[in-house]
Amino acid sequence: MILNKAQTNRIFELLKSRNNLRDEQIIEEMADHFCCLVEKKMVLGHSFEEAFNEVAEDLTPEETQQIERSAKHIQFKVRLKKKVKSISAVAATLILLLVAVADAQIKPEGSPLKGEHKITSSFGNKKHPETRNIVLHKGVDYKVGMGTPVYATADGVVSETQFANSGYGIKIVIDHQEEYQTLYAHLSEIITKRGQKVSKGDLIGYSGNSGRSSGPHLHYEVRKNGRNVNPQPYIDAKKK
Amino acid sequence: MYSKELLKGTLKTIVLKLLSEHDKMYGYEITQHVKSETSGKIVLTEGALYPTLHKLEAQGLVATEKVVYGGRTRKYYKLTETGEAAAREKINEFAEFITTMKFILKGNLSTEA
Repeated sequence: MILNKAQTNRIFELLKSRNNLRDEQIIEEMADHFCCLVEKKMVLGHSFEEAFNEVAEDLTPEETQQIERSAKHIQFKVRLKKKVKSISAVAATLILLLVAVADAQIKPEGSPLKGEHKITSSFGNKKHPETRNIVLHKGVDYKVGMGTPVYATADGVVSETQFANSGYGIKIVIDHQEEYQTLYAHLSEIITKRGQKVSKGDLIGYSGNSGRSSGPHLHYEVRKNGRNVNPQPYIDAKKK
Repeated sequence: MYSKELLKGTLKTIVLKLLSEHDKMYGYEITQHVKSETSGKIVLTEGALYPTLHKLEAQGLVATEKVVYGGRTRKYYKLTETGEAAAREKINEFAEFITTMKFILKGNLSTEA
């Protein structure tokens, strides 16, 4: 027993008009279900009309619309899940990028002076020229004449300027983000201010012989997370 | 016929169990099977059965296959591998549940089975 084309079409029509179904997939599936119910009744001796009317009464619009609504809801959830997946993929990429950018901390690079200048004292434990004690030489000393231009070795903010006759003498400290600091000491003149933003290569002052100094030179330090490190690799890292 | 509430939690198990015993089934076929196997004590309404099938499909527990039948298309449901594992799990869980319920209802259960 199988319904003919015309009978099947009547069932499709009822589902679309009276039951108000819109989803093609649901209509298809409900139509097959409806047909099966009608066929069973016809096998038991009902006429098509009788069977059709009885099934139509059982398979109410409320019942079939509940199925359609549920299907829509399921489709929505599946799509949402896909969307969330792709959004999280984008978010993950962004986070990776941010981490990469954050990781690319500004580092001091190159020399604070233009041209070639002899380094007379490197970083490390040294006998102090006057006291003869072994002390850590916290930076490098460049042999330069008075008034040689001194340049910032990285972008940053001037966090300290000092005009003293002892120790570092006239000095500048620049903060480069959170990780690095550079220090320029024994200057003769400062041409920047505390709190000022500087870019790599900006003129910040002139070399001199201020503070505890036995002759005109530039003392240059690099600090990483508050600790002095050998500036030499940073000076050499210029060509990237 | 049992109450809707009682059937609600068991519908998925019933469908998975039936599908695990058949290669593939369509909606109407499932309702007829349940009806005859339970002597009409459990009747699956369309409004309950189809949403359950659609959910199982969305979860990847069943795959579907369409076959043209007369002037219409029949949608068959078939367990996937994940579905087979889920079916076993659900059936075991439910069997255990029945054992526990028997224990709770011991005095009230009739001896005729």
